[in-house]
Amino acid sequence: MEALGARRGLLISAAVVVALVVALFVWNQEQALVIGVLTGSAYGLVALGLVLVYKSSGVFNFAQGEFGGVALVTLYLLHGNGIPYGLAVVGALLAAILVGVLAEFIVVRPLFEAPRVTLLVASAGVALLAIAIQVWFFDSQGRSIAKAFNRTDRLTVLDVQIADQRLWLIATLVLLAVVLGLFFTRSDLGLAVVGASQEPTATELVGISVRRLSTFTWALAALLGGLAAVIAVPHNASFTPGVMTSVYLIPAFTAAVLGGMTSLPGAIVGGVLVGILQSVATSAPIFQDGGALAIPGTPGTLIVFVVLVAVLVVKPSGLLGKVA
Amino acid sequence: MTVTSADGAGPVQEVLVDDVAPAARDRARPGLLGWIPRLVVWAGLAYVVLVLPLGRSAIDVQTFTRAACYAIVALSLNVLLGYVGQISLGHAAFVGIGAFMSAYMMTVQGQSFWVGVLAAAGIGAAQALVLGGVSLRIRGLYFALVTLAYGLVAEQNIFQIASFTGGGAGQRAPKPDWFESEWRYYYLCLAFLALVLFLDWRLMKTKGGRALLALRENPRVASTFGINVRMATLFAFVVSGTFAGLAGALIAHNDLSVSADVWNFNLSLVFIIMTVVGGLRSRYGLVIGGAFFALMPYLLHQIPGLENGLSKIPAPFDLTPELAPLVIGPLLLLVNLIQFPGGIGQQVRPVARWLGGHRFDPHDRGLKEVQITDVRA
Amino acid sequence: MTRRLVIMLLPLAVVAAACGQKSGVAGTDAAASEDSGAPAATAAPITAAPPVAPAASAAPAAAATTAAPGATAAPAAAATTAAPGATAAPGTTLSSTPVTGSVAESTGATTGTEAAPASTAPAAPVGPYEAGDNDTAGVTDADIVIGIHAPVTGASPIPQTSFDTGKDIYWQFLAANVPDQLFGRSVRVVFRDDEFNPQKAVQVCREMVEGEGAFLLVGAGGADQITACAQYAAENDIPYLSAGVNEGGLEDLSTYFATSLTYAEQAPLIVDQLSSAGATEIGLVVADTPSFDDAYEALQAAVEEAGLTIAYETRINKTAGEAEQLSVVQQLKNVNATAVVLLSSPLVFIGLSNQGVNQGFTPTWIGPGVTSGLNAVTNFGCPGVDTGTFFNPTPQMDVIDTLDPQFTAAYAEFGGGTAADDIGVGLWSLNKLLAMMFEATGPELGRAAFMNTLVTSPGFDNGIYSPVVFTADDHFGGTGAHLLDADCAIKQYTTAEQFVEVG
Repeated sequence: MEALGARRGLLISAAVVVALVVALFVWNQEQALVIGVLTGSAYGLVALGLVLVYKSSGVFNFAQGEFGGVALVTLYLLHGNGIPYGLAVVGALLAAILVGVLAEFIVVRPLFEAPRVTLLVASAGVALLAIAIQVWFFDSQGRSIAKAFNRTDRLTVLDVQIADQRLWLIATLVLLAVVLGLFFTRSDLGLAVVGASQEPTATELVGISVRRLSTFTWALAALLGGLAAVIAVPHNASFTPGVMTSVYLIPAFTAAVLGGMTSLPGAIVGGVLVGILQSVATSAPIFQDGGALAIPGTPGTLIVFVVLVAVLVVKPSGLLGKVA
Repeated sequence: MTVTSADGAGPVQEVLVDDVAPAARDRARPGLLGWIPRLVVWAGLAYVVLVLPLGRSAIDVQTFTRAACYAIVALSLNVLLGYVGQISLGHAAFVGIGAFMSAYMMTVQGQSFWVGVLAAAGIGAAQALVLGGVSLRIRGLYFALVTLAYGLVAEQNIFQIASFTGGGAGQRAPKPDWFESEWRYYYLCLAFLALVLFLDWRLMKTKGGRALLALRENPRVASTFGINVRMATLFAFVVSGTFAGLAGALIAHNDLSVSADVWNFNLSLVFIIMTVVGGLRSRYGLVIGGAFFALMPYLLHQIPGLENGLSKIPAPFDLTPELAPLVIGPLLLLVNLIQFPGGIGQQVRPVARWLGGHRFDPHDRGLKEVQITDVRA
Repeated sequence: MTRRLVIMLLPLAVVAAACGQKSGVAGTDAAASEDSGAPAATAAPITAAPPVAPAASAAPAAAATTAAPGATAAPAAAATTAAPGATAAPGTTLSSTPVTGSVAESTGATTGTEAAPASTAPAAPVGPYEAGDNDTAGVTDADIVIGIHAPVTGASPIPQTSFDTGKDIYWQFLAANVPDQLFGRSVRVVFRDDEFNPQKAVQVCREMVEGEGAFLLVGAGGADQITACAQYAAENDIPYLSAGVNEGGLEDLSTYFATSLTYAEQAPLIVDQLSSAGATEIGLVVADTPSFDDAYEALQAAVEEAGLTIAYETRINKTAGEAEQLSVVQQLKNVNATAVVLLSSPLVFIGLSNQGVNQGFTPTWIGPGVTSGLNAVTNFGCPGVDTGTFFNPTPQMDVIDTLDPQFTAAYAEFGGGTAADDIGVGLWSLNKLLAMMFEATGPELGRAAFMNTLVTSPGFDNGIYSPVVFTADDHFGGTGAHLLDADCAIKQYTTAEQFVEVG
């Protein structure tokens, strides 16, 4: 029965994707497809971290964006002071992990038994605090970080150039999804994490420390957040405090929900879908001023919202998620 | 109230007693001598709230008015968060749409202030109704996400409709005819705050209100008692939206102009923080919480030495009174959630009950933990 | 307990509201002065040329001061050469290039006296403005208070330290070198962050006027904020000056004055550049705030008039994110645009240009100033912004020394170690212009007198801006701009052309 449901979910998603692609070509918006994959891969990477935390502690982690923010600031400082790029990236990721562990220690542990929504609010508090400290110590000026890879013309799809930095992002994303998927289904540690989220008492009885697993999970999520920021943001030439939360976090949440909060590949699929939706909404003439369905302001926001609500009403477990 | 299991083995479900149900144990009333100190404190409070602003400059009074409006916002968010247990991460949209509606009514439609305020409350209610109706089947965490996305839609789509919101430079929102001076407007907003407090208190006494409280404890048990979960939730939504719209209208006329950039995600989070820190379901706590967050920059300016002390904290930039609330707010929230779930209301409760004529009992703290309903989706 | 609270509160509130009116404390309570338009006393009679600065070359004062009906703002021109390159010692000349213009302006009677040298004359210039209740708010015998607002946080941040230092330097310089220019007054500058948010802008403008007692307000950047605050200022008869931005929403405000070319006025200049560069496929990207509608139309019209065609045009969100930037860049690339006319916030400019670089698309980005032409943009916008070229009211650091050598010296003396930068240039020029305006108004300084001076003067030329000319009907006083060119090799803008005047 469950296999049937899962297969049905896969079929539905495949059908949706095919329909979307065809529609885009018909409407001359095929470039939106490519642009959507590019921007969506960033959302997907952040969404991976969100799904990870949800799978293991049932929490919507609002601080996921700011784990990345910390990494960005660290990278900027280290690289700006002359440290070679590779080392600076490692340092940035370590800083992110540190913050993740700190957050877990100070906020998640005391609230272990509390309702999940309380934890959501608490994580939002952590994110806000992180942003406030950034503004305090660095003011709101934009800053720029150099890219890791500078070449931009290696690959061109449908007339859209794909920079090496973007390729790095997509490669990391796919690699991580595969590794994490294997981790959660094949390795002992991964199984323990999933088990701890579903049956904490039983897990403790078997001798596994649920608390230690929680720390590990949050450290891993922080690492993912840091990776997302460090790879995706330098591509855009400048960042301001709070950019990870204001620009990436909400589409990432939508992506995670779309794909299914319990499904890692779903996070990627969701991310790409959200990217494409945003891109189409922005460039399709039908949504611009004067079009038949003209949407004031940023059309992408409304479209994403409508899709989110539709998914939650029709199939709350998302495209690839399993019914809990 | 406890529900015992069938074989009498013990309580299955316990419903917490909170401060809406009067404490049955404390019936002693203070004598005349007991009332005098209470009245003195009451008089002091009345002086601070009503008379002190008379001596302040117009700009300061504008801040006080904002404090009153934020208190109303806290009360409105409390209906959702405290009474029903649903979290709204897009509450800035609810308040903002009231602000725009009132400004629109007065500036574009040429109506009077009172029509504007009514329209604002109305559209707040309507918006809440639509959002609530659409997301009735969505609970808990996912609902939070939907409100968040809705807040974004409001900020980036609804508030960009130029004919409604006046476009880039915003919409003018002049003060009403009789209340053009800052001081008069302040008292007007105080009157509205009193009205909202009264309505909130009355509504929770009605059948619908009691249904809400039962709902918060356990929706499934509540429905077995015949409470229509959906209707009760919708009712709460509408009440919350109405209060929020009203607060928005008051804020609009206080600021004299409304623009879209103000009603963003950050503001929604500030609203949540001030409601939770104020103390869920504690009316005086909420008023204090809302007022405190609105007054923070002002207080930081006023308290001598505090500004200097803040700037001495070693950091590349000064922690100005404008920046400090951004740091202090989340800190307070975290401390609150972890250590003092009842917020300010919980800490102030002994004093409040003393003022109401009960004995001063420092151990009477009401809530034991922050009860926000959680349903794993 | 709640019931008791409510019962006590309501009647008290009602009673107090009735008494609330009597507590109008500060006379500067703008809200209380509903009758701010009332024709109160002062409206001074006649002319008598307000005294030119005593230290000045006396020649100008004696020369034909064509008394325009009512006032003269000592246009004194004839003697001094109007050459912009002339290093004018501060406080002297109010050299006005349009000398001939001023002759034409003095229609009819040269009422009464010419060039009375007196400094004692009741100098209030006559003009369309009448003094209200709060006419001298912000002015005492000892000082004048100026309020400036600008976005320091928010979507278009200007570096705060540059601002904090730069806003005072000219006044310190003046106090040390030409203390009498302002008739014994010194100037205090108050600055507030408007968070790139019109609602906040109105709030801080009120704070500066009612809390700090500002005499006039200045908007340093951000079109929507300027529009919102200017509306507030106009409702309260407070002079408001800013660099030229949009015209819609501002052209009917009686107290608003633009000190440089508006976006719409710069449109022909931009198109001239495009024509002379031989640009073929042109893109047009303008932020979608309604304030920019008039600029959008003006740009379209100017391009059409020059016989060029727009290959792709769009309105872009004020705070466009990566997805939208990518889309726009892609569309521009698809039509092979060689030049893109851009009117948006600097962050959007940086985003677009760098996404362009990522796509191998590097057109010329050209547009009207003001904030896109700052070195803060080249600081972190390179390499994308390298092909950017923008008009600006002031030139860049590379030529300021030839236009006004006192600038660098003043920074060295009063800057406290902070290096001079282009924001400093902007503030210096603004303050210099204000000083000229104060001087022209004379010792009897009030809001009405000030504004009368502005609209009746033949013009103000501080040597750095193109001359600024106002009339009673036209408060957009810019006459020209400088063209700045980004150079990523030195991560700064350089001045490509100076004083490009409207034809």
